[in-house]
Amino acid sequence: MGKYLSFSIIAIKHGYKNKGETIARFAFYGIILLVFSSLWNAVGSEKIGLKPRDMIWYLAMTEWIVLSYPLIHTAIQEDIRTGNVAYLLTRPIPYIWVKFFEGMGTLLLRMLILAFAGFGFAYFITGGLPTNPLGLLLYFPVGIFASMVVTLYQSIIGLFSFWLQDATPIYWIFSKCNFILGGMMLPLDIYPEWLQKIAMLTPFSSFLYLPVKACLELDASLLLEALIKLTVWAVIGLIAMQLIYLRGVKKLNVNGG
Amino acid sequence: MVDEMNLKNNYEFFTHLLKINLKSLTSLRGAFLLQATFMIINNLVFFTMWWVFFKKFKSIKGWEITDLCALYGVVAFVFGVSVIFFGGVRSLAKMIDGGDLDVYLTQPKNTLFYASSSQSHASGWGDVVSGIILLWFSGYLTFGSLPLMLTVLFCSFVVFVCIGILFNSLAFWMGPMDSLARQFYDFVVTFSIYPQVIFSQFLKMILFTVIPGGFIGHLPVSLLREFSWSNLGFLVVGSAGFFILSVVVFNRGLKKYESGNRFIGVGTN
Repeated sequence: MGKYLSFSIIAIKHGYKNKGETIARFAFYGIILLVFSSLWNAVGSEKIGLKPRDMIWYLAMTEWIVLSYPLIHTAIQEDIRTGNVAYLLTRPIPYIWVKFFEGMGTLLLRMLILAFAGFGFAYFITGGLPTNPLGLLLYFPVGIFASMVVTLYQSIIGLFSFWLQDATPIYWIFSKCNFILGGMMLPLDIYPEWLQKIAMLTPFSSFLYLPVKACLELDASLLLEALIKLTVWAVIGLIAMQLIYLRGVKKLNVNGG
Repeated sequence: MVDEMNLKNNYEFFTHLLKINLKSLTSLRGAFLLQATFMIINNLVFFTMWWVFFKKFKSIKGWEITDLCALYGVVAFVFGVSVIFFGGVRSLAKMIDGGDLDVYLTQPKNTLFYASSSQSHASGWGDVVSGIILLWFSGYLTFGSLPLMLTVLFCSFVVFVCIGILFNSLAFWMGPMDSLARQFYDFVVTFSIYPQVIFSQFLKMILFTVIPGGFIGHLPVSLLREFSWSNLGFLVVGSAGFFILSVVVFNRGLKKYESGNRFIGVGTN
């Protein structure tokens, strides 16, 4: 395990040096919250049963995950496109796990920095804490767990580069599903019932909507549901990642690196 | 006469470059179709958020779903056309910092024009198609409105490309800022796709100056909703202003440019 954590630590050190990108993410976080607070002020979130303040906190919490997870797929597809993967596969540790743990390092650093941004901007815009402030404390570990599972799925997307060369189009669809089915901008409660049902069957609602709603409402049963679903999706993701990775490597061996 | 010849030469050069870029893109037909198709799906899926939103809220300060459809259509179309014709703009900062402009400087063509149009992105075709679909559904795309539609789209396109040149040109003075320039670009797109009736006066002012998303989405759609000569004048003058500013800033920066001492070929992507 120690060798994998070393990759995470290297990624943290690397990310720490990349200040320009961190500042940009910080600013983007603020801009998104500002845009949506303007939107909710214009239409009134009371109509969907949420106080304007809680609506902004909801968005801050979902965005914390979305803006933190690293785009591992770009690193993987670059390795495959340039042929570097052929050299990286000869290491005594599985290539995909290296990428995954590097991603974890980047994720944790970003989450720590963006936690300040999200809290600061949301507090500044709303002028106070959410209705259940304790939920914020609870959300810290839950949000990190959800982000780790999202990062796992990001790695799986990257593995499709073994077949497609460029996995970006799959990432577009993944990110938009997070947007819509995950309830990133709008809580799923306001969706038509049929769309809510579809969303709840996908992993996306477990990534964003369920953990955020459970923590914001301090609902123990909902939190349990969120954690169970996240764990199930994590196990499915781990198995899928391993299977796809082995098939991808086999394909690379057959066709040449 | 010389100017006329120059213009004709540049036009011919541009069309040749376009053909080469298109050939390069379609040589990997599967990847091209995948990117274009997934981009269409991506844009249309994204728009469902507004469909859900307007199911609950009938309008946002007078803006209805058809107006949002037009806003998304304009921005998607303009984004698509800009990355098809001037896909190199997004990489300008990287070229400047890496000394990769050398290859364009040695050619008897305008450096900015050549470097900007040297790349074309397949996903842009998906943006263009989804832009047309959204504009069609908005109801603003009619035969009668076509001249106005083309005018506002052209102005929006000019502003969009010029903003990219401006942000990326900062690399002449600030060095490695490829990632930051892309983020700025994303800020502009983010602000362009929301109706600006929701913003305060101060934010609106920013949206026509520092982050000029107002020229790209809001103003063109406002003109489609309700035509006014003053707004059209504002859009035309604004786009001309951004054009001049971007060319001046790039040329000033070019004087500070340091060669990368590298010998590379001009690639299409």
